[in-house]
Amino acid sequence: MRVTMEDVEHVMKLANLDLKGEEKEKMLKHFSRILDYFTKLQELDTTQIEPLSHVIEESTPLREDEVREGLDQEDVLKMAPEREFGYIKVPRIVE
Amino acid sequence: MIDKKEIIPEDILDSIFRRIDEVERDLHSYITILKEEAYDQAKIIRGRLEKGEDLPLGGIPIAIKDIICTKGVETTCASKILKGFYPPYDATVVNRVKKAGAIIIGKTNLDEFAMGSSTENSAFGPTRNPWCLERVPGGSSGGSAAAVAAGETILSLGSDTGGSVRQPASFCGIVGLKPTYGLVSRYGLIAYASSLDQIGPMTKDVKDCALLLQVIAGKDDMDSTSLNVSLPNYLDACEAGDLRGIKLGIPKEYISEALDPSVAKVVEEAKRAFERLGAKICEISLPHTEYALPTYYIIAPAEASSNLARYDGVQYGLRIKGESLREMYLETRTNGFGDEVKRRIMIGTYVLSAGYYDAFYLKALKVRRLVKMDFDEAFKVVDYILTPTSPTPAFRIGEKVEDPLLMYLSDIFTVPVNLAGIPAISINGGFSQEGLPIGIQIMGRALDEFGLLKVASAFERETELHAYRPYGR
Repeated sequence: MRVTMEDVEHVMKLANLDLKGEEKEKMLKHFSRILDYFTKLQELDTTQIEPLSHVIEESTPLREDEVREGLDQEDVLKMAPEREFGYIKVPRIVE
Repeated sequence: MIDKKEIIPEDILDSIFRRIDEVERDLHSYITILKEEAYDQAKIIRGRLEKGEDLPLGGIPIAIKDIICTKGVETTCASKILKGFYPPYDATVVNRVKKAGAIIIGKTNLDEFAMGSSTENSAFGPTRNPWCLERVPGGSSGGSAAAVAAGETILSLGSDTGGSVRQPASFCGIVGLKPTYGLVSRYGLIAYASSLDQIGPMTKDVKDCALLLQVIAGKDDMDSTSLNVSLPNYLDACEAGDLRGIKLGIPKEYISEALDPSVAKVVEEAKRAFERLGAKICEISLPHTEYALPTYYIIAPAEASSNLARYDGVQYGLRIKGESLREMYLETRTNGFGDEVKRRIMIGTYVLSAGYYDAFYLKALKVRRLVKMDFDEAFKVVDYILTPTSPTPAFRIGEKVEDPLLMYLSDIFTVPVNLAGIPAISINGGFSQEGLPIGIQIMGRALDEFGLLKVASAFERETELHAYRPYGR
C-alpha cells in the first residue's frame, strides 16, 4: 500500500506528534510495511458479518446517580506539572 | 510454613531481597524496589497473622507490573511521560492483594505502555532473561516474568493485551494466566487497548496461580465491564487426579513447518503427556487464525491512540513548556513517548481517520467476530485447545527491534485469545537444546479458569517441568 510523506505528516498533526528528519523517514518506512500487512484482511468477504468491538456485548450498566466523594483537590494538584492559586496552570489559550 | 509459624514474613523478605541483591544488576526486572516499605508492611502483617486473621496471601511478596496504579508509589508505565506520577489511589487488584496480606516489594519493568514483546522498549532500559542474559525475557510483562523466574519475588502481576502475560511466562519458564475478559477488574490498570487488556497472575507454579487468581478475581463496581459471577474455589482445581473424559484440540493452523523445531518437539511431548493423563487429543481447525494478528494490530493501536491522547502535559506526568497550548502538547508527547508508542499511536490514528475507517478499523472489527466464532465452533467439539505459546524460545536482545513486523509475529499464537475474550494459560512445556524454556498454551471457554488450572496442574504434576529454575534454583 502506497503511503506518502503527506499522509504521515497529516497523521502526525492528528496525533499531536512532531517527528522530524530521520524519525519521520523511519516512520514512513514502517508505516508502509505495517499497512501492507493489514491489507491481508481484504481477502475475506465480511459483508454479512456484524462488527465486534467488545466481547461483552450487553449494554453498559449504569450506576445510581448518587453523590460520591471525589479525589481530594490537593491530591489532584500534587500531580499537576504546574499549579497556581489552586488551579492547574497551562499556557494562554485565548489571545 | 507461615501458617505453622515456622517462618515469619520478615524471613521471606530477607531471602527475596538477598536474591535481588545478587541478580538484579544483571536482570533489571524492577523499575522501583520498595524495600523499606516492604519491611514496614511485613511487621503489620505479622501482627495480623499472630492475631489469627485469615490472610490467604499473608506475608507473601508480590511484584506489580509498573502499569498498575499503586497509591503513593511511582507508576511510570516504563515511559518518560509518566516519570514522577504518584497515583492517589490503588488499582482494585492492588487493593485486593494488600487486603489478602501480600507484601508489595516493587514495580516491575515492561515495554513502554505494555507495547512490545521483549521488554526492550522501556524508557528505563531492557530486562534480561534469567535463563540467558543475552536474550529477552519476552514482553510486555518481562520484568514480572523475570522476577518470578529468578526468585526475586514469589508472585507477580502482569497485564495481557495480546499475550503480554503468557509470552514472557513462556520465555522465562513460569506460569502466566490471562483470565476471561471481565473476570479481573481493570480499575487502576493504565489503559492500552481497553477491549483487550486483562490483568493476570504470573507465578512459579499452577497452585500459586490459582491462589492469586482467587484473590484478584470478581466483580468490582469501579469497572463497568467487570463480570458479576460466582467464583469457584480455584485451589480445588489443583487437586484433580487425571484428565480422563477431557477432550483437547490442537488447531492445525498453529502447527506449521514455520514453527521452530524445538517448539514443535515440545508440543509433541506435551501431547503425549496429556494422553498419559487420560485426555483425548484431536486435530481441530481455527480457520481465521492467520487473520487474527493483522486484526489485533489494527484494533489495539486504534484503542491506544484514543487512550493515550490524555498524555498532553496538562494534568500529570511530563510537561515540556511551549509558547502555546498546542506547542506544549506537541513537545510533551514527542519527547515523552518512545518509538514504538509513537508508531502505534500513528497507526491507530491512521486506521481511525476519515477515508480509512471502513477499510481498516471496521473491517478488523468484523474479522474479530470471525475469530471469536472460530472458538465458539471449536468449543462445541473440544473442552480445551492446546497450542505453543510462542513460535520460538526467547530471542536475542536487539534481534527484532529494528523490524516491528517481525516483533509483532511473536504474538501470533496469543492474540486470538484476547480478540475472543476467552482465558488461556501458559505453562512450561520443556526446553530447547540450548536450555531455554518453551511454554505451551491451553485455551478454554469463557469463565472456565477452573478447568484450565485443572488441566495445567495435572500436566505440571506429570512432568515436574516447573521445578527447573535458572541459576539452579
